Amino acid sequence: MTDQSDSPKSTELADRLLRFGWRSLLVFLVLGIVLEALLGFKVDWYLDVANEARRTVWRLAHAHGALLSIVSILYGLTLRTSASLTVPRTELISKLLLGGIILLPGGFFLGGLFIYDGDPGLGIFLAPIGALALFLAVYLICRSPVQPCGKRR
Amino acid sequence: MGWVLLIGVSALFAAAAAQVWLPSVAMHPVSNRPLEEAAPGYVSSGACRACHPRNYATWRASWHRTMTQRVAPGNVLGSFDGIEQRLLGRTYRLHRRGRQFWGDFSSGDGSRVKQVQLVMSTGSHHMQVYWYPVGQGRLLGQFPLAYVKEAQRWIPRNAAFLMPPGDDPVDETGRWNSTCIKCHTTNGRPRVVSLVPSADGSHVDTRATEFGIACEACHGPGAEHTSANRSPLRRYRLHVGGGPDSTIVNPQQLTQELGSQVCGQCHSVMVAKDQRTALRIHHEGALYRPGDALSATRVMVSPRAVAEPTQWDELLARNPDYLRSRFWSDGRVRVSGREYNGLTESPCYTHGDESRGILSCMSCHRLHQDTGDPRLRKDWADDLLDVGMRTNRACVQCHDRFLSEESLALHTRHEPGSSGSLCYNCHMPHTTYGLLKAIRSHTITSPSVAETLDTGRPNACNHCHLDKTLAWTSAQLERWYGTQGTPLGEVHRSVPASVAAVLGGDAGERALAAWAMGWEPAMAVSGAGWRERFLGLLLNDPYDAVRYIAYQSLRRQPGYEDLVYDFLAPAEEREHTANKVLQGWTASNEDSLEQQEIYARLLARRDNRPLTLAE
Repeated sequence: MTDQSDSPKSTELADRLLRFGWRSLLVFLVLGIVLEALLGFKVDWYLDVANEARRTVWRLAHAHGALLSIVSILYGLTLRTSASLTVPRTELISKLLLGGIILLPGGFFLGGLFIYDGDPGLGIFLAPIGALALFLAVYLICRSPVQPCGKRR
Repeated sequence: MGWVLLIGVSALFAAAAAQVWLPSVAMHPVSNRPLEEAAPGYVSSGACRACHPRNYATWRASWHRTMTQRVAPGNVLGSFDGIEQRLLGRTYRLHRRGRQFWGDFSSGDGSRVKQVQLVMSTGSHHMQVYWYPVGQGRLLGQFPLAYVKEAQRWIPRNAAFLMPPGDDPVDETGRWNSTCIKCHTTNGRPRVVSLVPSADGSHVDTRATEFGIACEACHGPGAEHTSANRSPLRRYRLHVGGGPDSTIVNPQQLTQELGSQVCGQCHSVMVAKDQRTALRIHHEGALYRPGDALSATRVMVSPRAVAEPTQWDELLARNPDYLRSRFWSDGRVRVSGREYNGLTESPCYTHGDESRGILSCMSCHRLHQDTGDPRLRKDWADDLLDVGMRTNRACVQCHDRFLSEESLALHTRHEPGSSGSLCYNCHMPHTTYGLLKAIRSHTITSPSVAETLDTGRPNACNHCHLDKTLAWTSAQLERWYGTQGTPLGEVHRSVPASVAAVLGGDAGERALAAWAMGWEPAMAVSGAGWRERFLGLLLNDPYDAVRYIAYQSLRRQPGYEDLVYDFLAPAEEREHTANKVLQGWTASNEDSLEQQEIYARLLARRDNRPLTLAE
């Protein structure tokens, strides 16, 4: 049986996850810098008491986005270094993971663009969809047997 | 090492868990003052914050919130530095014991000293009054001193209100529990079970959902609203679809009448509609809820609207001065805090309609500062006026024919930009009294010499043109507006109306005249070098409040900024200062014999009937 970690598809998925992870980490770190700047320069649109909902969800976007980017990197490395699942299963997990990384922090961010007083905007409804995708991805990862590189099943 | 770490972490965890899960030390419930507690249907303002952060923040910055507070460091205005103060023959000492605030006061003969812990306060914008437990359950007594912010000093509570001179503090035991609570709290319930004191104080079990005027005072009970809006689907349906939320009251979305009544529930002169309702209110608190018609449970006391002359007989039997202490003789309200009465008698309210607009409180006032409002929060909070509502914008939003400077000048007969060009100054002059000052009347009227003659209420013209007579005003009004002239006697043809009020008016009229003499726009147009004499005369007025106002105005006159005077000093001392001021004036001015005679006649005919203005 072929070592899944060596398969071209597996490698491709790993590379995709690594690339995506680092790029999204960059994006959400920049968001963090922007939020710090808004705080440092006391921008009303961010800091006014009426904008508490925006402040909350944008902080959530930054934190979740950065963290989940690292998760993407970790899973990419996992794929590179261990033989776990069949490619279709790995593909599914990758899609769920990438979808979750886009939708969860993305939903938080969009929800902060236009707020309804104490509620985030409509974009917030993407967040639970992203959360579900992430949950499924991690669940499937948990269910998959992990073997170190080189071992054949 | 690993074991040490494990034990350390476990110990920390156990300590944290103990904090959370072990039963906390039993707290003795408060029993010596009114209780702040939830009530069925109410959630209190903390529950509103999560969804309405901006409105919550603006309310927090308003004076409504601090109308009633528990006395605590940070919300006490007065100085409690322990220094003794002697006022009107009594000795007082205000001091702290840790986080507690205490007041000592002696009996009239000094034989007994009472020490009381001050537990609650009323007010914070202009002055603050304090309450203490009298030892009968939740019944409160009023500390005899009040703290006045403007003067930065303690004064006897009696002196903070316009009331007849007298040395004995009025006994206000139970006043907060039965009266103040109705407007100074949210969902206040007096729960005066019996007027017969019980040994354990249970005859008075006063409670309120929230001290101060909070969200639910104007928006109604919020339990249904918070419960319904826990569902994000419902909230977003409302966000996207717009439209009113039927589970809460928004006064701005009510009709002008019902919306104004949300304010009018407190800012009016009202009595329960019948004895049975009065008893229920006495126990359960106000039965009115925002959105209701006030008339369901109350009757507005409005002498001008009385159809039956005997309507107030019962009220007057209990308190013969009830009407006089609140209204001018023509039935217009003369005290502050009763603006709804004034509003409902204004043509802008009574003659308005859907096409032209109907005046309501919210035509000018904004109870939550708008997002785009450039003013500092404290400037908005001062009078809760909307942006631009200190200008003619308040009026031309309906009376748009006065938008142009030309038409405005033609109407006002005053230079554009002058104080005479401001609608307020002619149609809402400072002719109501309260808080040791004059306040704009909320009855929108036009100046009338006849009304001044009939009631003593200053008209807008003479309230600014302090040096002019009623005859002058009558002639101007006749020439400009075709108003029928009023026959006037010698006094009103020769003596400025403000002077006639100072010399011959009742205490309330004297207070208004004294205030006007220190009002910048009036000072600017009425000449200089003459007001000091009459203000000096008022430094010896029998009413504390009149003397206080006269002193404040006198200090605004050139050359008198540093005048030292204590309006509560013994009479001889006050007279000495008053004489000094009068001598200073007389040295450079002289009255003609004729004038002296007129002044003497006015003084001799002064309205000296005891007057209490129930602001």
